[in-house]
Amino acid sequence: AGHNVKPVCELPGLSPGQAQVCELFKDHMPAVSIGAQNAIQECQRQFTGHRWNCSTHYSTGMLGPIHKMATREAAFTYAILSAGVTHEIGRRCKQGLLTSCGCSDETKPKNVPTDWSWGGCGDNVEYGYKFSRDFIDIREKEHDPKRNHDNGRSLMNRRNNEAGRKILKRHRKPKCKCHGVSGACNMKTCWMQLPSMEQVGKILRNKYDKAIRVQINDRGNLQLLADEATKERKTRALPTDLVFMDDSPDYCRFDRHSGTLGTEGRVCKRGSGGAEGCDSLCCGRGYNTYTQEVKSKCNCKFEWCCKVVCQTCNNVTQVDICK
Amino acid sequence: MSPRPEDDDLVIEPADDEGLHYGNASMEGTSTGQRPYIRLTSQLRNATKSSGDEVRFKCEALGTPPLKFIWLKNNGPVEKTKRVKIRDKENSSRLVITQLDVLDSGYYQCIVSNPAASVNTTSVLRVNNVPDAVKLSQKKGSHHSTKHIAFDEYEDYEMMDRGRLPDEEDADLYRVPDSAAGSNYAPVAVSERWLDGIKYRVGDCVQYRGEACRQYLSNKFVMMTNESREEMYDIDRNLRAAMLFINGAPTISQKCRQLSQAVACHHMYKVCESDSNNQIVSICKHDCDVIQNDECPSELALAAQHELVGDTPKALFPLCSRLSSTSNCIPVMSTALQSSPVAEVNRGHLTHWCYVNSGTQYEGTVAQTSSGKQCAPWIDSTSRDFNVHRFPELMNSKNYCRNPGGKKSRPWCYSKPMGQEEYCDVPQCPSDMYPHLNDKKVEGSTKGGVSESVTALWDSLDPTMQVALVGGGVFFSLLLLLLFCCACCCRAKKKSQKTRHQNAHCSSAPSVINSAANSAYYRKLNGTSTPIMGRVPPHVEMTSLLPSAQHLGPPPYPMDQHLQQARRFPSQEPIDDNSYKVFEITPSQLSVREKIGEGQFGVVHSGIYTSGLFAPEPMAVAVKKCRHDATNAERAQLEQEIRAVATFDHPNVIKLIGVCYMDNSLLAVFEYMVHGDLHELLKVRVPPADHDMGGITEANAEFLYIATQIALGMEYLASMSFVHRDLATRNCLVGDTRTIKIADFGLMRTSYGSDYYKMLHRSWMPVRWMSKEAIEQGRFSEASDVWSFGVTLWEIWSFGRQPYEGASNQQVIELVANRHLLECPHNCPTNIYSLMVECWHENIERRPTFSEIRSRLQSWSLASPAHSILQQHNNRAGSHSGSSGAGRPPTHQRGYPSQKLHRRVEGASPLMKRHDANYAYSEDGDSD
Repeated sequence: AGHNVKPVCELPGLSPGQAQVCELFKDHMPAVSIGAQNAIQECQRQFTGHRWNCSTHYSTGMLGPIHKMATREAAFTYAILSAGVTHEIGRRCKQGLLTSCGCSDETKPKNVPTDWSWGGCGDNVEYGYKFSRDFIDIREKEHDPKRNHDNGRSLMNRRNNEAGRKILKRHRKPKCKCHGVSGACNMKTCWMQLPSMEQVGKILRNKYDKAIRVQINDRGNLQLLADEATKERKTRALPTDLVFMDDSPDYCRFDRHSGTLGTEGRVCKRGSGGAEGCDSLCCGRGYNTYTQEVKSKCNCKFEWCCKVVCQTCNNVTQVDICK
Repeated sequence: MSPRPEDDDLVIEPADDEGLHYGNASMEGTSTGQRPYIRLTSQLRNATKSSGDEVRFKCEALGTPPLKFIWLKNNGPVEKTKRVKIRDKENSSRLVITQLDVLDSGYYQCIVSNPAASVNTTSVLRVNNVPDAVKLSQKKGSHHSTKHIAFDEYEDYEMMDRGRLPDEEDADLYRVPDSAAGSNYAPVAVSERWLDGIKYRVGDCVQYRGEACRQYLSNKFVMMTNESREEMYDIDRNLRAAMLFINGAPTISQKCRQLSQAVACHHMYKVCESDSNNQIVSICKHDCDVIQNDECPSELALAAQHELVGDTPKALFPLCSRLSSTSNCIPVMSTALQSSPVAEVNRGHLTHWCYVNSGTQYEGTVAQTSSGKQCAPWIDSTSRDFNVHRFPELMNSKNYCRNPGGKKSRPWCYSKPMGQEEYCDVPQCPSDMYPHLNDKKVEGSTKGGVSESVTALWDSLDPTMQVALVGGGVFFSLLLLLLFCCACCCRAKKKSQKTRHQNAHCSSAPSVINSAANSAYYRKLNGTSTPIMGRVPPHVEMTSLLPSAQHLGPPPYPMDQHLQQARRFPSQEPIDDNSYKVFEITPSQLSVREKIGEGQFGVVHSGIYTSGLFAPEPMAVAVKKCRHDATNAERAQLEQEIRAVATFDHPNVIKLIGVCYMDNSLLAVFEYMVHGDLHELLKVRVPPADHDMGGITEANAEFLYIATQIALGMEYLASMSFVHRDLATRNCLVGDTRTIKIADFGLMRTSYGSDYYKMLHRSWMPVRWMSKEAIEQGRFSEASDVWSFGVTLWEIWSFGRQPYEGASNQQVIELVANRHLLECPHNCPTNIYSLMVECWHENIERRPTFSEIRSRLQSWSLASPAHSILQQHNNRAGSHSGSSGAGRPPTHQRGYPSQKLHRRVEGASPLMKRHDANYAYSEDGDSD
C-alpha cells in the first residue's frame, strides 16, 4: 500500500535534518513509513491486553507515537521503531527496490561450512543500520540554538534506537536455498537473513521487562541508578539493553499532560487474572458487557485444485469493555 | 587583501557584502582594540561523487575575535571517524571524507562563529552508487580487509553479550546444516551478480551477462521478469544446478546434454528480440518437436515426470504445443550444436569464477594470491619464461591470475612487492561443471570417484599381487601393533587372548560402573544431554530402545505366544532408567591414530587401546568423536548413539568398548576390524573374467556364512527393538575368520557418497537399499531392514556391485516404486535369489522376519562345507550371551519386538543418527 505514497519532506513529524535526508533519499521514505508501521503493529501485538497498548494521546506521526515522558514504554517504542525502519530498508535493498543499495556483501560467517557457497543476496543490514542511524537519530543530535535541548532525553533515545538496531543486527542468521532439478538440491546458496519483526518484538519485550533506569549526571552523561527494589548496584548496561529515566505514568486514566489515553473503552477479558483481565485492565472501574455478532469463515473445505471454499458463520459473542 | 580594520572609526564597509557581520564594540575580544567582525570568504559548493571517491570541503572565513568552525551534516554534528576528518586552522576549516558511501550524501553546513556573529554556508553532497562488483575489482585488497575487521569486531561483541539474551540460546538455529551438496556445489562469485547496480523495471530487456548461459545468451538481451534482482539471479542458479544435474546424469547422451542446456537457457530466460524491442522470441516449434520426438524422447519424458516441462519457474523445457510456429524464433538446434566442444573453448566463453584442470584457460579477474598478496601486472614481468612476448594473451590480463602455457598446476601470478611466483586464490570448478573444458585424458574418469578408481586399480592387478598386497597391508598394520606394544606375541596367541579378554571385559564391566569415576561420568552425560534433547523431537526408535519404554499398540505381525513370553523377559529385570553401561577409558589408555573416515557430525579415527587391566595387549579400535566445531545438538547425538549402542552385546554387532573424555570432548571407542568393511572384501574377490565354477561354489559357501552372520546380528538388533535403517555391505565390518559385525560408522561420506541420495525435504538416504514404503513415506521398521538385507544379499552375491548400477538415484526411486526388482546376480543360487525376492515383498507383512531368514540360511549352510565354521561360531555366540549374564534368553529364541512401524522422525535412530543430523537439510525454499 505504501508503494504509491508520495513522499513529502515537509511532513509535520520530521525535524529539519530529517527533512534534508528525506530530500536526498526520497525513494527511502515509503520504506521508512512501512517500517515504522510494521514496528507499531508489532509493538501493539506485544502489548495487547496491557494497560499501555502502544499508543499515546499525541498524534501518531510518520515515526509513530510520541512520548513526552522518558518511560520504559518510550524506550520500547524508540527501539522497535528504529529496528523496524532498519529492517524494511535492509529488506528493500536486497529486493532491489532502492537505487542506492543492493544485496549485502557481507563476508561468509565462520559458522557456515566452507563448502557451502556464500553469495546469495542477503538483507543489507549494514546499509539499513547506517541509514536508520542517519535518519532516525539525527533529530536527537540536531543543532538548534533556539530550542532548549533536553540532553538526557536525547541520549536515552539514541541509546534505545541503537539497542533496537543492534538486536536486529545480532539476530541475523545465515539462510540457505536449494537449487536443482525438481528439488535435487545439488547446489546451495546461503546468505544473511534478518530476523522477523515478530522475533525482534519478542526480544525487545523481554528487554522491556528488564529495562534499566538511568539518570543524567553532571558531566552530561547517562549514569546507571541502583535498583530500588533490590538495592543492587548495576555496574554496566549492555548495548542491547533498554534504558529509561522516568517512572511510567498511570495508564489507567486519560491524562493530557503525560499523554496517556487511559483504558476506558478497551476490550477486556472477564475472569482472567492476567493483565488483559477486566479487573486489571479497567483499573477497578468495572466494565460493560455487550453482545456482538461476529461473522467468520467456517466449515472450510479444500477443493481440487487449488482453492479453499468456506461458509460464513455468525457467532454471537459477548464483549466486555472497560468503563 | 581582506579588510583588516585598524580602528573602529576608519572601517569602511564593502559595498553589498552581506557576508560581513559586525558585532558591537562592547563585546569580548575588544581588548585588541579591534571591532569584532566575521566574514565568510568562500561558499561551499555542491558536489556529486561516486562511492569510493573522496570529497573535500573548505570553509574559509575571516574575523576577530578568533573563529570557531562547526560542521553539520543534515543539521546534526559531523562525527569524526577514520574516513571523516576535520582540520581546523585559524581562518579555515577543511572537511575531508574519503571512501565515500552513498549514505554520506547530505546537506553539509559549515557554521563559523565568534562573539560577533555566526555565519554559515551549505552544500549538498550527492554520492552515487557504484556496483559492488566494480568496486571490488578496483581495490580488492583494502576492501576485503576492512570488511573483515568489521566482522571480527562484531564477533567479539557477540561473544561478550552471549548468554544474556534468552533467544541467543538457540545457537543451533544459527548454524547452517552441514553440506548436503557433496563436492558438486557451485561456488558463487561476486561476478554472478550481474544485475547489481543496473536499474531496471519488470519488462525491460537487459543484456545477459550471467554465468550459466554465457555460451548461448552472451550478446543477447533477456527480459527482466521480476523486480527483485535476487529472483533474477535464481534463474541463473537454477540453470547452473540443472546443468550440473544434466552433466552428471549418465543416461543422457552428449547431444541431448547440449540440446537441453541450450533449450533450458532459451526457455528459462525470456529472450528479447533486441534491446529496444521488448518482443520475446521463443524456441522454434519445429526444433522443439524434433527434440521431443526424435532427439531426446526419453529424456524429455523423464523431465515431464518431474514437472520440468511447461511454464513454471523451474521448468527447463517448453511445451512444444504451446509454441507458435512463426518464423521469428530461435533455431535452438543449430544454436546448440554450433557451439560444439571445440567452439566452446573460444576466449570469452570461459569461466571466470573458477578454473578447470590446470586453469590454462582461466580468464577471471582474481588478482590476489592465496596468501593474500596483490598480484603484479604481467606486463611488468621480467621473467624469461613468462612474459607478454612469449604469451601475448597476457598483454590484456592486467594483473589477473593466469596459468600461461599450463606450466603450473593452477592459476598463479607474481606477487607484489617481491615478485614471487604464487598460486592464486581461485577455486577449482566442480569436476563435472564444464566437461567440455576438461582435457581429453581426464575425461571419463570424472564420474567414478576415488572408490571406483581404487577398485579399478585392484581389478587391473594380478590376483596373486592382490593377495600379496592385502597380506602386506595386514602385515604392516600388525607390525605397527607389535611395535606399539612391548610384548611380542604370535598371531594365534593374540587371537585367543582377544576373545578371552572380550569375555572378561563384558563380565567385569558392571563392576567398573560402580567406581567413582564412572558415576561422575554418568552425571555428566545425563546433565548435559537432557536439556538439549528436550528440543529434539521424540525419537521413536530411541525410546523403544530404552528398557523402560513401553511398546504401545499391538504388533502388526502375528506373534507366537512363546516368543511373546520371551520378549517380556528382559523387561522384568530390575534395570534402572538411566543405566546404560559405559566403560570409561582414561586418555592415557587410548592413542588416537589417523582418520579413517568422516561422517557429517563425527570423525572416525583408528586407534590403539591399551588397558593394563582387561586387555594386556593393545587392540585396534575405532574412535568416533564429534568434530571440534560440533554443536551441542551434535554432541547430544553422539551421546544418544552411545546410549543406544552401549546395550548391544552380540558377536555380530559392533561393540562399544567404552567412552573416553579427551581434551574436553567425548570419544566413543568401538572395536575395530582391520580387514575393513564387507564391501571392500567383496570387491577384492571379484572373480576374473575367465573364472571357474569351483571358485564360485567356494564363494557361495563363504557368502552363505557371511549372510548368516548378518542375519544373526540383525535378528539381535531387531530383538532389541532397534531399526538399523542403513544395512548394507559397507556397514558390515570383517574380522578374523570372516567374522562379520554390523556397524555404522558414518564412513560413507568419504568413500560411498554416491550411495546416498538427498530426498526432497529429507536427509541423505541410501535409496538403493530402501524399501518402497521407506522411500515414499519414511516408514522404517524391521520390515524395511529386511528389504535392505535383501539388497545386501544381492550385493554379496554380485561381489559388491552397486545395486541398480547405472541408474540415477532419482531413477532408482521410480524403479522401486514400479517394482522393478534387482535381477538375479550371475551364478547366484536360486534359493538365495528367492529369499531376496521375498525380502522385497511389496506387502511388509509378507516379508520374512530376521529370525526366519536366519534359520533358513543356517539350514542351507548346514548342507555346505562351511557349516563347521558356522557351528563353531554358533557355539561361541551361545556361550557369549550366556556369560554376559544379562539374563536374556539365548539369541535364537528371541522373537520380535514390537514391529510397530516407526514414523520417521528427523534424526531418530541413534545408529542412523549421523545420516539424519548430518545430511538433514529440510529447508527447500526461501521464506522471505
